[in-house]
Amino acid sequence: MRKLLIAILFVVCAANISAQKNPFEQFTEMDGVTSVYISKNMLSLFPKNAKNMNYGGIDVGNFLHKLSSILILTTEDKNIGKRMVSLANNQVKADNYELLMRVKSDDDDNVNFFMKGKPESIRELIMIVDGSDDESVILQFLGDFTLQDIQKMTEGFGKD
Amino acid sequence: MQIEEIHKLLDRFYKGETSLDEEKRLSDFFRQEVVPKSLEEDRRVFLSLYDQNVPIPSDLEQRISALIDSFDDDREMKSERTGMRRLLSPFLVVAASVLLVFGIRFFVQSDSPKPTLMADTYQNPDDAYRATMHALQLFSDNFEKGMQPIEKAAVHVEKTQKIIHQTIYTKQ
Repeated sequence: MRKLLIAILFVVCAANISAQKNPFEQFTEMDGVTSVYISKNMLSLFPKNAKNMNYGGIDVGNFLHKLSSILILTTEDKNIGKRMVSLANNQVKADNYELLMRVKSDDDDNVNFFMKGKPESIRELIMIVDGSDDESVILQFLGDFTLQDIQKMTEGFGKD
Repeated sequence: MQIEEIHKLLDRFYKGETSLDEEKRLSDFFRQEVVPKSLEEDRRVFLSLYDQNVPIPSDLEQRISALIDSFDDDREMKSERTGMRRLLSPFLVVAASVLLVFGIRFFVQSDSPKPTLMADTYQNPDDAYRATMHALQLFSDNFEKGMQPIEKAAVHVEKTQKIIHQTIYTKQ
C-alpha cells in the first residue's frame, strides 16, 4: 500500500516536472536544425546602455533585460523546415497560445506570431516563419514584457 | 410459640440485639403460622428480608444477556468507526499530497515562466549578443511587415477623418 502511494506521488511529481519543460526544446535535437539558446545569465552580460544597443534612438537593452531566455531554431532544408513548422503549429494549438499576428508576404513567406499571457504582461512570444523556399525559423522569447515593449523594439530596428 | 415471646423477640430484633438463632426462629414463625393482624406489618418485613424464594423473572437471563450484548454492540460500533478511519486514512494522505503537489504546480506555473534545462549555446557574450541582435532584427523585419499595412490603414483612416471633419466644419 505504502509503495503504491509513493509510486503515485512519484508519477505526479514527474508529470509536474515535464509540464514545466520548454515545449520547443524538442526541436533543438532535430537533425538539420540549428538551434541557438541564450539564457538570462547571458542576456545580463550584455552591456546595459552601450551605444550599439541603441537602434533608431531606442534602447533595445531595455527590452532584452525583461527577457529570461531566447531560443532560435533555423533550418534551410525544405523538408525539415516543413516538419518543424507543422510540429510547432501543433504545439501552439495544443498549448492554447494566442495568435497575435499572421503575415503573408509577397515572397510566399508565412509568418505567425503567437503569445502567452496578457498584452500588458506577455510571458512568451513566438514567431514561426514558414519559408516555403528558404529558411524556416522559430523564435521564442520567454520573460515578462508588454506588447508596447515589442513595438518599441521593432520600431528601433525598423529605423536602423 | 407464644405471641408474647414473639413480641419480645421482635422488640430485641428492632434494637439489633437478636442472635442469628433467634432471627431464624422469628422468620420461621412468620413463614409458617397465620399471624395475628397486629403482626402483619412485621411479617412483611421478615418475609422481604428472609424469604429465599423471591420469584425470579423468567426472562431475567435474556434481559441480562441482552444488556451485555448491548455493551458489545457499543464497542463494536466504536471499533468499526476507528476501523473505517484506519482504512480511509491512506486515501486521505494521498488526496492531501496530490492536492499539495497540484497546488505547488499551479503556483509555480502561474508565477514564473517555465524554467528550462537547456544549456547556453554560446559561452562568449559577444557571440550571444550578435546572435540576439540578428534574431531581433529578423523578428522586427517580420513584425514590421505585419504592422505596415496597419499603419497604412491608419493613415487612410486619419485622412478620411480629416476630410469628414473639414466638410462638417466648412458647412457650418
